[in-house]
Amino acid sequence: MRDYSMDLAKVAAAIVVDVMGSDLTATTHYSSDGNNIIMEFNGYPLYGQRQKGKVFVQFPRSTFYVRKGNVYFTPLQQSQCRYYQDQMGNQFVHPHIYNDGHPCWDGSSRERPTDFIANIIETLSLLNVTKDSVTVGLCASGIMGVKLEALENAQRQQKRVLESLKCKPIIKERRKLENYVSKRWCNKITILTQAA
Amino acid sequence: MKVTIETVTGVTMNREIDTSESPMGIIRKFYEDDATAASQIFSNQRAIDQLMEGNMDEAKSAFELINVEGESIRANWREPLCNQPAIKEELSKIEAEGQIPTFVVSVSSIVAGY
Repeated sequence: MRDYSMDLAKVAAAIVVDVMGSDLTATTHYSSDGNNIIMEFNGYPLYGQRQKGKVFVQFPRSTFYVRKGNVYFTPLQQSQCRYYQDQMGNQFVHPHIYNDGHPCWDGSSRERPTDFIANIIETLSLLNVTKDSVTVGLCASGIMGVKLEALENAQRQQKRVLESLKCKPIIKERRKLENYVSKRWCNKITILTQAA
Repeated sequence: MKVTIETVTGVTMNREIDTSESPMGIIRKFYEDDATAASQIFSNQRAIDQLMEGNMDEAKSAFELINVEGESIRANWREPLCNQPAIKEELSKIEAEGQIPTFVVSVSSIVAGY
């Protein structure tokens, strides 16, 4: 029987790569206990390091599923999601990621697969770090400094990520990014369910 | 022309294609050149066998060009790509953007395999 939860996670990971640039590669697998899915992105320019390395995004296996031919997405809470780098357990360096790897999300929409995928893209590209997010929303950890120092460091890293991976220009405009991700998601799941 | 062939689950393969060929011809050639890589776009062995004989479930299969906005343009499986105006026009736009065109491809057999 086809594992649709994994197939749909692979589709989501592929859309992240499509937007962020093909220098990034994705593999998707289950966690050792089988309860979570881990997207593993290789070729990411790690903060404070010259070389590129791995970034991991972990979320519950029940996030995507198919029932009676329809694709479903279960919105997840920030505590169910983890961002790591280098190896599992190492916090991803980002002002809005806590020390244990879970993100601190803003109040934007989380209901659709598009929201989830676009949020991964914005986190990996640090485009969700803004003056307001670090001064009003504050930093989840001081790994990049706090307030304006965090913003400055995040912007430097953002520039490096965008240039080194050759991300699609739409990445900088949330509305365009959502449109693009949504179209690609709908197209892929249509083909996937038609072929089933 | 250089293109990227992408499976539904996101495996990508770079190929050189001839736009005077139909999608069916392009995929058959792909399978003849590199059966291991090409196998990833087929739902099962039956789908491979059928395509090599010129058959497939066209309703369930897909050969779709992704444009710069992320929309997909479905290609006719049996018409040369250069004779399909919507595809031809979009290929020109993608090339003008300096990007490599991506086709999402999935091939299903007429009778489901098991």
